[in-house]
Amino acid sequence: MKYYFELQCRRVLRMIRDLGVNPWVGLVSGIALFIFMSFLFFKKIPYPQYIYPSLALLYLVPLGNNSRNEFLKITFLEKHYFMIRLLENVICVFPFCIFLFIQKQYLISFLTGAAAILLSFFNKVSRPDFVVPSPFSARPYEFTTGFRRSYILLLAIFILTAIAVYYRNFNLGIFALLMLFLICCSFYSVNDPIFYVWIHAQSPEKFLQNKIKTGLLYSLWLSLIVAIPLFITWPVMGFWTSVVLLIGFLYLIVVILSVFVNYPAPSTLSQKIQMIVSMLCPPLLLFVIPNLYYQALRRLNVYLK
Amino acid sequence: MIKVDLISKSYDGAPVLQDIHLTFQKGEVHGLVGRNGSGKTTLFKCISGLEEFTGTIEYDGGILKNQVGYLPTIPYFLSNMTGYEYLVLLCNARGVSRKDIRLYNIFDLPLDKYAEIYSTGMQKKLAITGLLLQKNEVFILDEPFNGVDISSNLMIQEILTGLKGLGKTVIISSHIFSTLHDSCDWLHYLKEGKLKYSLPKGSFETIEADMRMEGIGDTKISSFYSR
Repeated sequence: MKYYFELQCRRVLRMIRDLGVNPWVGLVSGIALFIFMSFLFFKKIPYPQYIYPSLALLYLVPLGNNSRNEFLKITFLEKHYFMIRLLENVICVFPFCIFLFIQKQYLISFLTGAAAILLSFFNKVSRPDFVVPSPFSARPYEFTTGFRRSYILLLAIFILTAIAVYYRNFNLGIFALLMLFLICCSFYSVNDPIFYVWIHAQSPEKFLQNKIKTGLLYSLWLSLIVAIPLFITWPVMGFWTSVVLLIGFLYLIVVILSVFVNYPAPSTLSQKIQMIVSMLCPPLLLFVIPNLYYQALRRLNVYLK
Repeated sequence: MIKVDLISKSYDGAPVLQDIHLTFQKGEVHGLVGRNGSGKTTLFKCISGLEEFTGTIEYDGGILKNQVGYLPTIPYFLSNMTGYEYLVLLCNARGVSRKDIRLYNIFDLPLDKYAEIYSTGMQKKLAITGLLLQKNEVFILDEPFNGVDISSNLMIQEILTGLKGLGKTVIISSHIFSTLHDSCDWLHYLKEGKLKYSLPKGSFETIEADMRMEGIGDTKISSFYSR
């Protein structure tokens, strides 16, 4: 059992090393980032004392995955298995509880810990067999699979747009549009498996262009559901809606290219910083996008002819 | 014709393939045999263009990589993707237009279910269907019979015969010797990354006997139970 936890620690350190960062530097930075984000969360988000522990508990759900738990059950003795699950949940939720304690949310901190212990007994999380119909099946796969993962969030964004129109709140509408692009970008959060790149009988240029074209086309469809009501309700603000749309499309291109800039490995930390800086200062995108494009072409040359 | 000439491959300095020389003609089925770790999958990946290597591979039909249908030992399926969408993706990737994909569902697969929840055998059958839909000229099948039921096994053998009849080049590996015996025109024996020898149909027993001899030895099973 001790070895199991040692192994988990090693895996975390390896993941940090794969990002191109010294594992110990990464670990300390990660802790600092967690503390910073937590303080920011409590400062900026309404009702943080409820949302913060909910996020902590949501973070535990994948640990209750059925297949994962079947593996643990057949590998360890029963008493060790329960101990592992209990410790995993407690270790993961511990930093959140400490922070809630610092924020003087004693009862919620205690309840979060108790809920984490309770959750360690619910280990049958598996995906439902129900197939969510996707409007993006004609050109798989990022939007096809991404839509299925995020359809509830997309629905929430469309409802938010309706609320923005109803209450005549343009800023809320723009926020919904930005969130929509954020969700579209999340569809590209995982690197393509090599096989799924290799199968393409295309040059790297054509492959990348098709990826970008599909991404732009499908994100346009989704974004129009939000943008059209904004254009109709606030025609004088049409310029700003168009600017947000344009920036959203540029962000999406950056994210698509980021998958391939260091392919098949994930993009390095310096590449990530480059992308984040350019996103914070959109005019830089005009220089960064061509640079990312050529880096991606170089990496794809190995797999595409 | 595919001509593999002096292919070598190393991982971190350790040679996995050494000076492999092979020729695959159109309309032939070639079997690759060898123990686990003998380099079969690496050779498949080199021919497919999934791995870089030293040496050359010549192909007289254009860009080889774009005409190879490669079946990995364990096909990987993306989450939240149905069997139907997987087939569409494979067709799109090769620029093959198929409006009637469901008509080609020869294994009666539940195409509207997520491919990731298919059984091992069903996933393999889905992957094979995809390769056939792509209209490939060369088929590289790594353990196509593994995890597949008997009737589907027979169907795969029929498919191999059909592909041979259509003049396609097929290269397969399998640990089930009888399947190779029936399907292959040539068997190539790999040992520790080197091509030991190749034999035509009719003399496969020699390889089988060699491999059996290799496997026999002291497995030291008792050491697992001794303190």
